[in-house]
Amino acid sequence: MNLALLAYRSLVNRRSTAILTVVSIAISVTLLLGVEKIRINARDSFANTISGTDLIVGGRSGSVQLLLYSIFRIGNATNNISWESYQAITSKPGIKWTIPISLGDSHRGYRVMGTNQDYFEYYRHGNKRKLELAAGETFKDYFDVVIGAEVADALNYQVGEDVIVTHGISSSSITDHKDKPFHVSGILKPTGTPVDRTLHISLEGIEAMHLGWQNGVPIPNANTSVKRARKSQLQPKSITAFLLGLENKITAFKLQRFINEYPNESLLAIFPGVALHELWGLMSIAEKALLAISSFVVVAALIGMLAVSLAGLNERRREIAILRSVGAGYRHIIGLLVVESSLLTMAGIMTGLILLYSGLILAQPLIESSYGLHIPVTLPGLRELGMLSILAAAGILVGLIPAYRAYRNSLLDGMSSKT
Amino acid sequence: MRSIIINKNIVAALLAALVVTVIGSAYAAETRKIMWDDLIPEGWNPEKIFQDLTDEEFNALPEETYQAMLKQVQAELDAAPVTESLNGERLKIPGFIVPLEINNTNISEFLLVPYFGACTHTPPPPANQIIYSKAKNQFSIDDIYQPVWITGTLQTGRYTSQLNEAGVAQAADIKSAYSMQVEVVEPYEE
Amino acid sequence: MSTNQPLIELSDLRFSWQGQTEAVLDIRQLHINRGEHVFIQGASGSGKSTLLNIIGGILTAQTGIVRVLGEDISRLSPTQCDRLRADHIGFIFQQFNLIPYLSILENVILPCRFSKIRSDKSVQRSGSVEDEARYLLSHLYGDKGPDIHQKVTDLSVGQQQRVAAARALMGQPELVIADEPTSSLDFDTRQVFMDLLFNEVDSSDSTLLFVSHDPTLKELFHNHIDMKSINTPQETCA
Repeated sequence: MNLALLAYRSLVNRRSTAILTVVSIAISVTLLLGVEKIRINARDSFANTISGTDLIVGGRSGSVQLLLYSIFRIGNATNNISWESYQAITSKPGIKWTIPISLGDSHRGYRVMGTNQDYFEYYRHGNKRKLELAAGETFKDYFDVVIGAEVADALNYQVGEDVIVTHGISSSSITDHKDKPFHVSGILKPTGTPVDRTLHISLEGIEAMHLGWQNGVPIPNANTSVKRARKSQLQPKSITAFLLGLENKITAFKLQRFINEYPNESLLAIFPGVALHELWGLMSIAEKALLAISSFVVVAALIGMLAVSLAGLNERRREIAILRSVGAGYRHIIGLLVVESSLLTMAGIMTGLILLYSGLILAQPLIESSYGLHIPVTLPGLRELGMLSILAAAGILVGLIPAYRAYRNSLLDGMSSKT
Repeated sequence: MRSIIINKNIVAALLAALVVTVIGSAYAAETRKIMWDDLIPEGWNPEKIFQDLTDEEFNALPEETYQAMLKQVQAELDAAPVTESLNGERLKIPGFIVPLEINNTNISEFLLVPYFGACTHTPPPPANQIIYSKAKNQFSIDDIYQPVWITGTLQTGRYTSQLNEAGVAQAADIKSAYSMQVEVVEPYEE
Repeated sequence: MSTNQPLIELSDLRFSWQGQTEAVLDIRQLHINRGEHVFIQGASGSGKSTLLNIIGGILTAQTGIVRVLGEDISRLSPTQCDRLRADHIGFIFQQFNLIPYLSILENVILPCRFSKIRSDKSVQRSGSVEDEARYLLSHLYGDKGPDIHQKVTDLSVGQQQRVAAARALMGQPELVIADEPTSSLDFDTRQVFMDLLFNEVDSSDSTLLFVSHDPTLKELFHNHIDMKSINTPQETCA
């Protein structure tokens, strides 16, 4: 009977307290690693998305908010930009290109974005990488849709299929545009950015969708058919935001000031890099707080294990005295209790990992549709393994305290059969 | 005190810089420190037309004239001449970073400006007080609101501009500007 | 060590509990030879259990020489003491001898897990450690042997004491220390137990130290020690 087996049998004998200890450690592990996963992936989600864009312009709101909804499709705009203002600003000298975008619609949980050909021409992601088509072509017709790689994958869409796009943002929209089906004209290659989770249609397409709607609610009996929709004037009236690139980046500040002070409409122009740093700054505060909290939870779990172990020592005095009488030395007694705490800690870590991954697999789609946060189910990285190692080491060391106590007790007790 | 996280790619560059400094300290001494005033050529004074007026004359200006003169001043600011003599020189200058290109969390291109918050309330810096910088090695920075020293080779460039039909009354485009190939970015300490 | 040398020699032994001034034990001389069955008699509190603990190396006397199997155990380090105990001494207590979450077999073979010497001797005598356990159990139980994989919590007190005896005798230790092993048994069970115990102790060539407050068992033993006569603790003047 080696020490590990003896420790295991001893724990099984006290299984209710052992299970409770394992559960408390498991919960702390799940929390610690869960927070870490969210932290890393939130940061990753926001990296490599935008490149080569000098300014982003939207209706007046906060700079982080503008960045979030225009690039990351998280949250919503509070105000739009009128088409006139857009034309006026982009006619200024020194602007090399612009990409107008229009948000606010969704298709089965994925966001729909209105834009024009300039998007496919000028949008860059990662390290100045251009968008590429995996199949089909960009939109020609007003009702053409170019979908991101993930949308194609998850909803199993092929080029040529007809899809229906809803108004407003949610997975289950009550009002559908059933009479205006859209047509998948192209599928983009994966980018690892929110582009993958977006359906792109033309600005005219967005207008076409809303024909016959007043203030977002369908007018009864206003059955504008597809043919009629084509023939009507589909000039976009407003957009949500636009991106721009400059001939000379030095002019960025001046243009930004001009846009922010534009008299005809309340607008905001941001440097994407600056807004991203602001976002990371906010996240950093939250991250530190979460890490501190989960660390405290781990400490609480370890203290709980220690308390249970010390409390149980009294009952085990006889058991330990017997072991000493059959020849167990101090090394064996200390070893026994350290192995016990190690087994509990390891079991706690394993259980915590199982809890974490099963929870992640279940919750992943929900997190994505609610928060736009994509958390891939990946194995623990180096930092997470480091945290687990520290936890394991702490668990082993915690076992030394009752071990020492038990040994001291056994010396004092002697072999008195009265105990 | 904030510190800059050094990207692995920059370790080699810093080691090389260290070796160079040890072997040829004379070379290190050649990295001249400049201030933002040095980037402005002598005698450039865009507000001259206002400064030439006396206080009474200034207050007596009709609103339209004032606005027109303001636009002229703005045009002067935009025209922003550069100090040609600095072209090609290896320099060290302190300032604040406005990131332009970010890969992962690393900055590869940025604008260096003389003061914090250049992209918010205060009037924008004139064109000769902005340096368009490309980092030789990407770096990451915790806090872009802290000043830094950048070291690199300054370049002055000429750009052909497009004047619009309205002519002088509208703001003219930048005729020339500063850019820099940045080798070292470090926290600014007095 | 020669067979003529006593197994246990105590000289000028003095022991008191920590923080107490009166000595529990004060023994000038005590010899116990190999192969003896020794009955140690004394009332409660006479220090007989303490004496056993000192001989067994569990407690350390403040002064005096305690020579067991030729070694002065008062000079040994705790690890060395533990080793001596593991290799050469078997214990039987009055009750609660067994580890409740182990089976009968697992309890009995415990000494061999901590002592290679006893493990080797078991293999030598019976072919394997498990076979040695079976051998001892069958002898101590008589015909109706227990299922060795049974949990010990299902056994009666008498059965538990026999299992404890089997464990104490695993690997033929030189010394068996029994601290009131029959005090929880009824009269008939006691007789059977004593017979079986003596048989096994002799066939292992072991020395038996048997402590009890029950004088009726005295006549079964050749050698007697009365705590009253050997233990003369003096009260140190306050």
